[in-house]
Amino acid sequence: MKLFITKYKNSPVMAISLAVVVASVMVITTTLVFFNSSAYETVKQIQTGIKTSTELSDNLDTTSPIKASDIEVFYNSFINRLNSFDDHKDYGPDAISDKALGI
Amino acid sequence: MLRRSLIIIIVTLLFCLSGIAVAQDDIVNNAEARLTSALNTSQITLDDVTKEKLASKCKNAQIIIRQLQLEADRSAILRIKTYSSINADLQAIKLRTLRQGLDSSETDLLSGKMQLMIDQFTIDADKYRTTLEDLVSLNCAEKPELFMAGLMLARTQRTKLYSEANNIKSLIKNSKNDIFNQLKKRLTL
Repeated sequence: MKLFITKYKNSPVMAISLAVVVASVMVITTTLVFFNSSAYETVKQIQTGIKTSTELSDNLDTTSPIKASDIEVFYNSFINRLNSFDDHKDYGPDAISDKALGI
Repeated sequence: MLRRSLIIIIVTLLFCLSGIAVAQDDIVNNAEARLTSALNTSQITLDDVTKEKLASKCKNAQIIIRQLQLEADRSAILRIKTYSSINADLQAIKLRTLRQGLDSSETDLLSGKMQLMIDQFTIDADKYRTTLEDLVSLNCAEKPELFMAGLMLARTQRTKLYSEANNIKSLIKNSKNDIFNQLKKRLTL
């Protein structure tokens, strides 16, 4: 250790390395604070919305002629997508009742 | 030189650690402020026996609430994505109908209503998540009344989300006769 200190005492490489280490620590710290904050969850939700709208506008057919049978297909698809969710499981009162929480 | 650098590193580390502590403290303080506001609104008062019971059992409840929060996040993201995809399809129907020179104002109106509901759902899902997060970060053994107020708020918000999810489903289901069948008739003529 003593030899190491003597050897690199006045080295600019050492100073730069230390600066890099300090900067890395600061970046890692701020990143961890951000990922643990509620702001990150909000960013994730916004990103999902943007991603979805971009994907949808890329894949949607908005130009070809539409037929009556297409409307039926669309409607059934809407209902199937909506029915794929279990509202009671996701937002029903049971999961957050005193009994469920054991209080 | 080296000694000076070491001092700088130590000071920086202390600064970073204090930054984390301040950020954590800020989250806790904000959470407490929100829960205090919920307590003032609900005006809950607990007797000593209930407080003691709650203080002793709330730590386990926090573990379950954390799980609920993760599930709520997943569910909200998936629902927003699905609702948005339905709304995009409605927009596509509107544009394709317009290109054929047919009136599509009902579809446009339905899409507008749907978007408003999605926006409201997104806001309320975020509020619900924040309340659950506040409940998890609270020192509930010391502040059982805040915990109970937050829990009641979370229940109200959850009920609202349940009702909003149902309303979105009903909006589309109930549009069958008024909008989709009318559109089908127009396209058949």
